Amino acid sequence: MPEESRSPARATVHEPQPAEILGATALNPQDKLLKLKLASGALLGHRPGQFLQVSVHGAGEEPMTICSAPVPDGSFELVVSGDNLLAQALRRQGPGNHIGVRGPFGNGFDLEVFRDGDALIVADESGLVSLRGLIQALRGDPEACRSLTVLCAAPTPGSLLFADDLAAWREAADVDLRVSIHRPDPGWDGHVGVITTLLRDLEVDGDAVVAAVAGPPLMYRFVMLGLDAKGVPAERIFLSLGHHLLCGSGTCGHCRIHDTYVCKDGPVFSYSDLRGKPGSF
Amino acid sequence: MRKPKVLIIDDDIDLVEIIRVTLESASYEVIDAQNGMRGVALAREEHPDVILLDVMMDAIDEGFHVAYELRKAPETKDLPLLMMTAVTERTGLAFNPERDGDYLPVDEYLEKPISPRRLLELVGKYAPAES
Repeated sequence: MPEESRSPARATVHEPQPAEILGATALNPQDKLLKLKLASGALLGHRPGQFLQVSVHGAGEEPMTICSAPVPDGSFELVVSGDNLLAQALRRQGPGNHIGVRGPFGNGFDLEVFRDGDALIVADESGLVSLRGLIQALRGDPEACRSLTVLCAAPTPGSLLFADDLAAWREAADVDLRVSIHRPDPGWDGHVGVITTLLRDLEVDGDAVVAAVAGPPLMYRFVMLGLDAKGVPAERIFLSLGHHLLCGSGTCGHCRIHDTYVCKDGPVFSYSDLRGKPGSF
Repeated sequence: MRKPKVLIIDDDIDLVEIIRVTLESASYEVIDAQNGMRGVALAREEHPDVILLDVMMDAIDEGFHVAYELRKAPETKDLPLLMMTAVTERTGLAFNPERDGDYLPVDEYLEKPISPRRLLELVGKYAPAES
């Protein structure tokens, strides 16, 4: 393949590129994982935590977080959730079909901040979509961080995302995985409680922790307080606010937090940058 | 007639005494604990009619974890739980049980300072004292 066709995608802001679906897997009854590759053969050139504008002709376009780390074969993954027209259209797609993508957009996670630190990933409910690529990237480089702890929680066992990944991380020597279900459930014999109860039980060196946090809007305030209780400085806490995204282009204003647009300036922010800004959480 | 019993879980001794005087003058029995662990134990032993719970004690989020423990145990899960805190003033983070679901399982959420009248109103809502 010519070298220029393998270089990172250079889509203009307004030009969707066709992406071929390589595989489609149900994560649970509501959510579907799509594995894709740009039809041009170019690499997407993304960082974990960035997002794409995803479209199906006639069904609209939406920002979606890329849930996988960059890999040499150029494939990338997205999670289809919700029940709007685009989600319905994406769920109908299968291997060999093409959809439109623009991007990647947003800043994503800076992997350098984790180097020499104890990486602490806090993923509540759909937050794992935003953080899975970061976990993969940190695991892919032995020098990426000193240790890797992953906290995951969901309301019910059936709503836990990425069961195969969780099973693999549970067995992996390089990951300390802790999983919780919010409320008691007959099908669950593990930890019960909201994600901050996992955090409370964790023994950490607050000064060495670099935390990445994503989840439903209400959890951020409690997790920030929990990380404060562990002595983690605000400068070392990074939040993905992908749930704020709507148009993804800084046009609609839906994602504005005080003087910041999540889609243009984020979706990843340090807590020290957001603290005190009304509307952050 | 048994006086309604109120458990105060708060490490601010001065505030506990002010609340104690207020409640005892309105015919409540008051017991107190100055940390979360002791508070959970007292709630199980004494089965109070109302619990007043601070947030920032040994840890800045200790009160939330006390609430989770109380809601988890069958003998305390239904006890009226009134959270009173200055955590928003200290951190800028605002909390609301109607919005925060499983993360904030309390019946009332009160920002300190709380006037004696408001305190008696809310405690009386869950455990009316004999007049």
